[in-house]
Amino acid sequence: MATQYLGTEERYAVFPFYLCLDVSQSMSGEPIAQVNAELPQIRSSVGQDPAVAEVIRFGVVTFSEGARTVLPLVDLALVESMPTVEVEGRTSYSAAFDHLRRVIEADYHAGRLAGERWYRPAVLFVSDGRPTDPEERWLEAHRRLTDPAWRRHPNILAFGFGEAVPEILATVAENKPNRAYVAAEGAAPSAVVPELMAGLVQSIVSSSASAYTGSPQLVPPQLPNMQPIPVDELE
Amino acid sequence: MSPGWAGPVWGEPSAATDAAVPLRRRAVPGEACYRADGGQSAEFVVLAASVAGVAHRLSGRRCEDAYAWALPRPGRLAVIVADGVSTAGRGGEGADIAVGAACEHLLAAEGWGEMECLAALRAASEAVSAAGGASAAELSTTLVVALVSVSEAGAEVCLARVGDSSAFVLAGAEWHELFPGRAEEELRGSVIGVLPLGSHGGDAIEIASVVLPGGAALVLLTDGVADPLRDGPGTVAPALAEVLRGGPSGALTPLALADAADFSRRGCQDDRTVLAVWPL
Repeated sequence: MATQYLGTEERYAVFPFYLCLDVSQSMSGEPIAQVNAELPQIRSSVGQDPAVAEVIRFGVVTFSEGARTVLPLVDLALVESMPTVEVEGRTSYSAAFDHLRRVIEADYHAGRLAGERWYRPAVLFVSDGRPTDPEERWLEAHRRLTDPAWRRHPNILAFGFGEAVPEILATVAENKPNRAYVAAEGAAPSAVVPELMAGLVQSIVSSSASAYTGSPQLVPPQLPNMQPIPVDELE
Repeated sequence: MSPGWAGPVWGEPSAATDAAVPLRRRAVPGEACYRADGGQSAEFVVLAASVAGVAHRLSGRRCEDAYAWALPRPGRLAVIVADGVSTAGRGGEGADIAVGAACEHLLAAEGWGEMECLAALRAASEAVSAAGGASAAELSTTLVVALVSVSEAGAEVCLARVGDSSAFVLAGAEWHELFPGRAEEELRGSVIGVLPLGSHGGDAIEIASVVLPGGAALVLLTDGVADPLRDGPGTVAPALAEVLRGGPSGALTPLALADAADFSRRGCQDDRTVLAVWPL
């Protein structure tokens, strides 16, 4: 009999999302204030759908010269208040990518011990500028984060506004179609940030819904003031 | 007591089952959220149930799983299960078409083995293609077909599938999966094979065979049950085995099977189908 035996551990499926926010100096003023105003919406919007809420886990990572976790990966139903984020210094993409890889690896193993079965994690990367660290350094960190040989490598959606460079965002999103978005030319950050945050909620909810109907996928949001960055579709 | 509907709690309960199920705009044959059926011949007992997952029920959608069986002659039984791909748009229709076409093909089949199993799968694929035309991808569905034949050697089963619906042997309280389990167990998200088959569709077909031990059941499951069964070795697996223990004696009714298939478990919101066969 060609058999496959069942496991012995009790496990529950979860879909981890990491919001990776640029908090460099250029985010000061209205953009960072709007991010802080909108972050609680993620918790309340996701919480409205119990089917989604019991699947997703959500964490927030910020980066500037360094990167840190401001909300550890968590069941949003257990979060009493969302953190506020503060503007810091420069824009190190390598710090963000290295931190994400460490955090995802650690969270995965902690989740396994807690009886979780993970869908592939998703990173929602938001930046308003270009990286200030050397290109070869952040590209190398990005390669480590997206290395197919690393089984926990995340799917990445990248969003940019302000001084963000479309080509760089496309690279962050691994040049996959409909994974990188940039604000329409001339769109003010005050218009883009609320829409972007609402879009992130939409993406989280839709992606989680796809998980519990059996076909897990990272669903991009609809963003009228943002455009997908065209990339080649590879065979 | 919450206004929501759910069967037994197996593992940590799902909060989603607490909510009342909204009244759908229409309910017509072929768009049911709940289906259950069964029967007994001289050689087989069959019980089957499909229930819409909580996610579909709360959003007013039908169950997009489907099942069928065919008993073309004494000693031969075909059982078929399909899981329409929700994100495709009309996956439930595709599942209905696929199980119907496979059933019709097998009712008329002369032979009874791997070739017929594969032919039924291809007939189902062609039916889905024909029904959908240029939009056939909207009807995408998984399909698993099992042909059972009873002889003096026992009950021989050959199976073919496309996609992640699966088949198990239940012997006592022990479950044995007949197809490879989740390809990448910890991190799901890969694209599964579906009908209609593409130009390289043969690559998506998997086959298996088994001789059922005496007293064992053949159980086909969509992933709405198979995933929690794999993830719940101390809850879902023994509880469903215990429910199915009443199948051959008649103690388990189709409606009781449907209730069991509607178990509440955190994070398990997909449509669910259980189809069990006991050779007598």
